Amino acid sequence: MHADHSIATDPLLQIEDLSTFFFTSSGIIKAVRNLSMTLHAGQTTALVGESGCGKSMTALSILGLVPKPGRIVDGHIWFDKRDLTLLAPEQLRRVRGNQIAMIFQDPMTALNPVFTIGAQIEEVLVLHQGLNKKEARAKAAELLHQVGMPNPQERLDSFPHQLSGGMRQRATIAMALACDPQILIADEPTTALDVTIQAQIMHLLHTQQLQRQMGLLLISHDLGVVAQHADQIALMYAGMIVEQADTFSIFDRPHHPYTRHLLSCVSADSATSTAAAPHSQAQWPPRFRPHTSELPPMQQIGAQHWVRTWEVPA
Amino acid sequence: MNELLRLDNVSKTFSLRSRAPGSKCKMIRAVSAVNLCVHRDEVLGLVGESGCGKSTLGKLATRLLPADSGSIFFDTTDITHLSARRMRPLRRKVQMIFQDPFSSLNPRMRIHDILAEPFIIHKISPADMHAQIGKNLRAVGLEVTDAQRYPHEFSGGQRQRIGIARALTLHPELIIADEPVSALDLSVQAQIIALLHDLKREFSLTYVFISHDLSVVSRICTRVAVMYLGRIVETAPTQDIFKTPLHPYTEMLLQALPVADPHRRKEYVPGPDIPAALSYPDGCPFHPRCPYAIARCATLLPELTAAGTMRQVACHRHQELCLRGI
Repeated sequence: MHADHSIATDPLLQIEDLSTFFFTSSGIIKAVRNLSMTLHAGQTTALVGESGCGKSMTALSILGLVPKPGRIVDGHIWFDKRDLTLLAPEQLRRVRGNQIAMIFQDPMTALNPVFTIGAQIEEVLVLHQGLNKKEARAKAAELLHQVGMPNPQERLDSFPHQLSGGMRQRATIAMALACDPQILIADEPTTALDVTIQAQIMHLLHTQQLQRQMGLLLISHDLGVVAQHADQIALMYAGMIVEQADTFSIFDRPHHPYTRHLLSCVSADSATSTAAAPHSQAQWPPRFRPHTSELPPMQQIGAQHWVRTWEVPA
Repeated sequence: MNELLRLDNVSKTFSLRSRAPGSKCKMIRAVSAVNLCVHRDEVLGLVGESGCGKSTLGKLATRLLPADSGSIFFDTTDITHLSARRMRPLRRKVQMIFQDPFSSLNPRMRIHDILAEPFIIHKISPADMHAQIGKNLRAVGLEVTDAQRYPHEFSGGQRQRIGIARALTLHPELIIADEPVSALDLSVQAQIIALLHDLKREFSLTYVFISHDLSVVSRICTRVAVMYLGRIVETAPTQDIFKTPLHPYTEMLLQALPVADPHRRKEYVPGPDIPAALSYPDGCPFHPRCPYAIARCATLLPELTAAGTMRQVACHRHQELCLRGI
């Protein structure tokens, strides 16, 4: 554990005014625009939004994995007293997987189909922690046990295709936890899973987070999962955060029209009513034009509640 | 109430051939002795985890797959063994909407041709075909001019609208929608659900809505059937099933559902995973995962029996258990 620099008020990760653009032949795509957020040890911050809103690009920016022709054009990502945007690829590689780990929506993309689960976890331990083969194998079995994999010793020799979706996701979590990261980025970790398996995996992430005092950056489009597990929520729309607050404020006092709209899609009242929520196209919040350079300012409307809006909050 | 579709004791088994010499052919019971009734004008939700046989059941009901045993009645006609020729007029009355709007539309065909195909297949070419296609496009919220475009020019939600327009072309009575909104974003989901709702009223349709997402089902269905390992374990009106589930599996699904309300956080963690369809348990199929299982559950298969006027449940202990809803 790295308790020495996790003073209660000091964030583990601090993103300031991050912008990630893609320079394509048909113009500049502003995937992430002026994004600022923090993540504290032992806390869960959720990035919420619909597909294409830039939540995954934010995660890839943190890890320095933005694919070409995209790049970080502005801003800082402070972690461990260093700015990750300024690190050399070699230095960044030591942070990635070691101090900051990531799990993905589809565990099959994160696992190599031609190697056993054991070999893939052992590789992380040998590369990042300098263990020898034998130590790595023992530690890998221990990790599989921690993530609730039945028969961990036997499972070391299983190939990914021999496991169910939920078990595969447990294996990728074991891989991500192998180096005891301070931050875990989970990109839609349960979207591909059934609701019962989803509950198991979220429970697993929660208990591991508490034990290790990890900061969890949870990327999700599922307001149910977020309501159940997040401490802080940042809602993204067209590359920017439109509203940011603790979970209770977002659900109790949503301010931005987009937040209100999303909540109306899943409101608890509609859970048992058979009437569909009537939404005509005309009621939709206007899509921000991606090329306008001027963004509405972030305005503070509560102790920890920020909204991107032109109007002056009452 | 008026029955539109009835499945009587319908079963379907798939065989898995193994390439290893000397190994036996493994059988997967996808659908086991299902009895299910779809009433005219209702929206029946068919829910369950992946691999429970809900999509197979949808395909059996439309005769896209032949049933191994049992009978399927559409509007009092037994369609189980109808020849392709005699089935054709009935196919107009039952249409499907698929999950993936990217693979269910031919990328080389213009929208107009996609929507004209049902007419061609059924050898009806009304004089006002173009007008009808335009009307259908407008009914699903698209423009008449969209008919000249190709599928790749549309977003996921718009493509799903095209799939719906195609299903509406021949004025069906029953639409079987297999996970129609699962691939879509939250706000687009809400739009498509609202659209299905409006179309139901406009064209007096009946839906079978197959989904693994209980929160979506709660928003559109009037009645829900819960499937587990190829069997229906509970059917009830939507409100009842959410408030007072009778089957322990329904309770498990409901408790695992994350509620979009941080004031109602749950500590519930469901038990073990769904067993592989190959290792079908004896007795009640749910008993290895069931927190309320008793000795009888491991040996005796509970039948789906009436519980009240509108409800059915397949559980030995449904009268003594008091399960939690949401």
